[in-house]
Amino acid sequence: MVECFKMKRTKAIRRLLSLAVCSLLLSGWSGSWDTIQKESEKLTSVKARFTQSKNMRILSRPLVSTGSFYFKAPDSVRWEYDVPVKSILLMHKGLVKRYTQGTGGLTEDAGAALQSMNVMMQEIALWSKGRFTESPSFAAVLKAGDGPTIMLTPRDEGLAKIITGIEIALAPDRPGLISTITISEGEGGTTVFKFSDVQINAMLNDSMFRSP
Amino acid sequence: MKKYRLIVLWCALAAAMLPACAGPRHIRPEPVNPALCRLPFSSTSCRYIHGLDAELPGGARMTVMGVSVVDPETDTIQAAIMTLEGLVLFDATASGSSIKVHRALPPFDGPQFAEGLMQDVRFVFMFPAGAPKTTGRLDNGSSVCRYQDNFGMTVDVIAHPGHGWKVEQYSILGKKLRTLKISALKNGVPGMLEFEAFSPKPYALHMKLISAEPVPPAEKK
Repeated sequence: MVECFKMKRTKAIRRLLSLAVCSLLLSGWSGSWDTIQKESEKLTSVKARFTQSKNMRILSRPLVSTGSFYFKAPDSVRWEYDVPVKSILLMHKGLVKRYTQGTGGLTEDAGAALQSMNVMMQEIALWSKGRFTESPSFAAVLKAGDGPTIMLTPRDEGLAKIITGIEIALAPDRPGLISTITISEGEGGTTVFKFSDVQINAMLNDSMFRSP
Repeated sequence: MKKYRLIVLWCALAAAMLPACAGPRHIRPEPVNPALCRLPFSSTSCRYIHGLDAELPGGARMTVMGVSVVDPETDTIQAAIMTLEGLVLFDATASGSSIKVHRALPPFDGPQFAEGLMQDVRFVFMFPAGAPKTTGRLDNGSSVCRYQDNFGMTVDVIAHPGHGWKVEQYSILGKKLRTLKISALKNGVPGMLEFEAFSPKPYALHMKLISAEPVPPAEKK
C-alpha cells in the first residue's frame, strides 16, 4: 500500500514538475507549435517566483503557497516552496529527491525519490523541445490570440480522474510570457500557478539541483 | 527440558500481552474541572489547515497538507489531504455514522481507509461527549479527565501544567489505540499536534498548524 502510494505520488509530482517546466519554457513565443519549438530550443535556464492558489469545496478562500522555480537544460529542476510548508523538490540527472522542513531541519522524503525516472525524462525531453503534441500523457491544443492559451487534456481515463484539464495562459501584454497555469481536478477544485520575476538563461550552478 | 520450554513460552506470551493489556493509567481520584481538559478543543465549528508530516507503516515518510472542518454542534467532520503541489488525494465528509467520500485516489480509495481516517480526525479534533466518568491525578501531578463511550472505549485527557495535554484512547480490552500530544496554545489553538495510531497498522502524524478560523453559520448551510 505504501509503495503504491509512493508510485501515485511520484507520478503526480512528475506530471506537475513536467508541467511547470514546459510552462516556463514557453516564455518568448506566442504563435504556432513550430514557433514554440524553435523558441524553446534557445533556452538554457529559467528562474522564476511562483504563487500557488488552491481552491476547493472545503476551503473558504484559496490556500496560497509561494516559492521559487528553477530549470536548467536539459533536465534539472529545483521546485522550492517557502510557505506554508518549506520544501525543496530536486530533479537532476534522472534522480528525484524531496526535502521538507521538520523539527530537525530539512529531511529527505523517501516517498518521492524511489521511482524510475524514465517516463519523466521522456516527458521533459519532449516538452523542453516544445513538442507538446507528442506527450503521451496530455493532448495539447493551442489557442492563438492576444493572450494565447494552451489547453492540455488527459489522454487516458485514469489520468482524467485525477486531472480533468490544464490551461496555460500567456500574458497578453508581454508576448510569450506565461501568465497563469490552471490545473482542474473536477468538482470546482483548481490549482492556479502564477509566475513572476521570470529570468531566462541566467547562470545556474548544477549544485543547486543536487542538494538543498 | 519440557518445563523450561513452558517457562519460555509463558514469558513470551506475557511479554506479548503486556503492552496490549496495560490499560489506562492509574489515577488517584480527585475533583478536576473538566474545563481544564477541554481547553485545547473548540466547542464551535472551526476550519484547521495543517502541514502533515506522516510516518507510515514500514518507515516511509511523506509530507502533505490537511484541511479539517470540524463542527461539534452537528457532529460533522470534513477532511481533505493534498500534496504540497495542491493535488487532492482524499476528500470526505462524515456526519454521525455516515461517510461520504468526494474524492479518493488509490490507495486512499480502500473501503476502510475513509472510515479509519475520519475516526482519526474525530479523535484529534473532537472532545469526548458527555461528562467524565471519573477525574483525578497521575503520580506526576497531572490532571486527568476519564471518559467512556457506549462501546466501552476509554479516553483519558491529561493536562500537564505548562506542558500541554495528552489524549489517550483505549479499547474495551485496555489496548492503546490512539494518542495525541497537544502543545501549548497560541491564541487558543494548539500550534503542534502529535498523533499516533497503534492499530490496525501503526502510523504517526506530526501536525503543524498553518491556520485556524471559525466557520460562520452561513457557510455551514
